[in-house]
Amino acid sequence: MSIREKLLNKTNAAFVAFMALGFALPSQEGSRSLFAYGLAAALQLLFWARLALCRGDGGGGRGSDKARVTGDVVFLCLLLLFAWEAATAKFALLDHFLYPAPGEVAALFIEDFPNLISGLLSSLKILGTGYVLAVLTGVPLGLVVGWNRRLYQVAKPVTKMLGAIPPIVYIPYAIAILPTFRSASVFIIFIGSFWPIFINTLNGVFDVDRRLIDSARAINVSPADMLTRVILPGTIPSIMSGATIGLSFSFILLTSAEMIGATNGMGWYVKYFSDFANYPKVIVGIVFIGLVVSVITFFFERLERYLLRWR
Amino acid sequence: MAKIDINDVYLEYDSGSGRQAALDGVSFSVGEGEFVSVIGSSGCGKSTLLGLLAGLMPPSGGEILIDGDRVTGTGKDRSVVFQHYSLFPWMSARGNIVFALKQQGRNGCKPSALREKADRYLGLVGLADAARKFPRELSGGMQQRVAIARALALDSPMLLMDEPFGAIDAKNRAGLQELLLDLWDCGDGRKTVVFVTHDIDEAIFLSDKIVVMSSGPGRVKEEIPVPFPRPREREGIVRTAAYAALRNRIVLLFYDDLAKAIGGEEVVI
Ligand SMILES: Nc1ncnc2c1ncn2[C@@H]1O[C@H](COP(=O)(O)OP(=O)(O)OP(=O)(O)O)[C@@H](O)[C@H]1O
Ligand SMILES: [Mg+2]
Repeated sequence: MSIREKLLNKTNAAFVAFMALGFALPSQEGSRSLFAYGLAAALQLLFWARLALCRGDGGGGRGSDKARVTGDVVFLCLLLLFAWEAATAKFALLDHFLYPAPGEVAALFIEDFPNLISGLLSSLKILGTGYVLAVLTGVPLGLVVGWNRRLYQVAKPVTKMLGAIPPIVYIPYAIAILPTFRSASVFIIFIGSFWPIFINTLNGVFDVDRRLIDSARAINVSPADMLTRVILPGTIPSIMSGATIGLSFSFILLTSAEMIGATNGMGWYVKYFSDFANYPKVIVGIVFIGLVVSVITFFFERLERYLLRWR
Repeated sequence: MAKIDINDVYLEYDSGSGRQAALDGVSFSVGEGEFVSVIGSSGCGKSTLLGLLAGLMPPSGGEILIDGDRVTGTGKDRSVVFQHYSLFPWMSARGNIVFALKQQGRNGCKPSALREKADRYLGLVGLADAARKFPRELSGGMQQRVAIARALALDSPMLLMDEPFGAIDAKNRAGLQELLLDLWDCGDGRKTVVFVTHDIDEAIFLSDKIVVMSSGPGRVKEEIPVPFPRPREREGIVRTAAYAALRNRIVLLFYDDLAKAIGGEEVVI
């Protein structure tokens, strides 16, 4: 990207227009527009940071490609933010009670951050326990059952039947039979992510290239190594797709369970404040959940790419 | 007693439309230290035969004896180069060889010794630089050479090779043929080799005996001994009249089979 391209582009133009209009037009009382401008500036800084990272080497290159994508994304965000700000803080087109201004949400987000974090920790403890348990049981069981013909033939119909039950229906019963809310949530998340992980592992074993298995047999691979160094890595692509499905199930189940019976956590936060009709905080909670899920997904994809680097 | 005895072997596959014979009444034997090539048209059952020798599946009829004992499974006395290279894609070239060496029961060996051995064989097939690469990063011919290095590194008394040089250019191929002969004839006693190829010159240069197969279902058409003394010199034998005669004979056997397959009386080339 040339210096010219770096300075004169639509993202910079949108940012300047946003700031100019923001300060020129008066805002409604209590809409805390400064926080909205701060948010816009933070997005813009992100774009500029990307630009700074890519050298002025006249187009091409992955760096300038990434900068362009960031520019487009930031541009889109600025447009949305602008529309939101205009409809609420500037011209009050929407009912203020139901539709808070972006500045209000941003300010609350910062002020309530300690509470959000404590909710996050409480949620992650449950999610982590249930999900890790599901991976630690689903993968080895899937490998062993998938590798053993007879077990596979028994397991296939059973998993078809049990795996098809939407795990959400277990929630009320789990809460009734298990002593604490936490153990019930862990159980539900475990069930919800276990089936996709188990089933995908099972099918993955079945799909491992016969020729690779022959090749392993020809070098007299020991049964333990057959499972851990041939079948397991060959099944990783399936396991990872099962684990991804399991993870998104867990988020849904976790937040649903929290909305029903928790006294802390991210789902509880949203439910609690909507009971009080405190919609700015509801939006804060939703945005926060969105951010958390994106961050977790980001690292999950990194892990997947690392595990499948040989592909 | 021969090293390998193949007695009236019959094999059928379960295909979608029913059972289909791939080998029928195949019999021949391979002496200890003998180098035998198997040639025949595509689909005549060469890979199937090698799979049986490797012990990957039992024959549907007949039997295969090694040292007089019926083959019931794979064994450490045999190493195999598959037609489809079948390297483990999640292991580096070196990792593939080290893994195979470990399975051979060399767990006692230091990992560094196994790595060194793997690298030595990679060097022998001209891939010293590829040790850390994943199979995905190697060309077909390079993967095939890693598979060859793996089988050779195992240094087992029997080698079963399925078109091991199929994807390799003429120059490298000649080098690898010589390497194979060197390793075949080193240490205490020659190895026993069954070598599948489509290349008649390759078969003549390498083998003590050539088994020509015909297809539909696979049968042994003829066993042809190759009389040239060893060590053989490529240029030396190619010019002899005996070579031309032998080559012609095999070519004719080949086209004979082809003519039958096409259904014509004669094939004009
Ligand atoms: N797994 C299988 N299932 C069913 N039929 C098979 C299977 N493998 C091979 N066949 C059939 O058996 C016959 C022999 O196959 P094989 O692979 O042994 O031939 P080949 O001589 O090695 O051929 P090429 O020279 O092309 O490698 C073919 O007709 C093929 O269709
Ligand atoms: Mg074949």
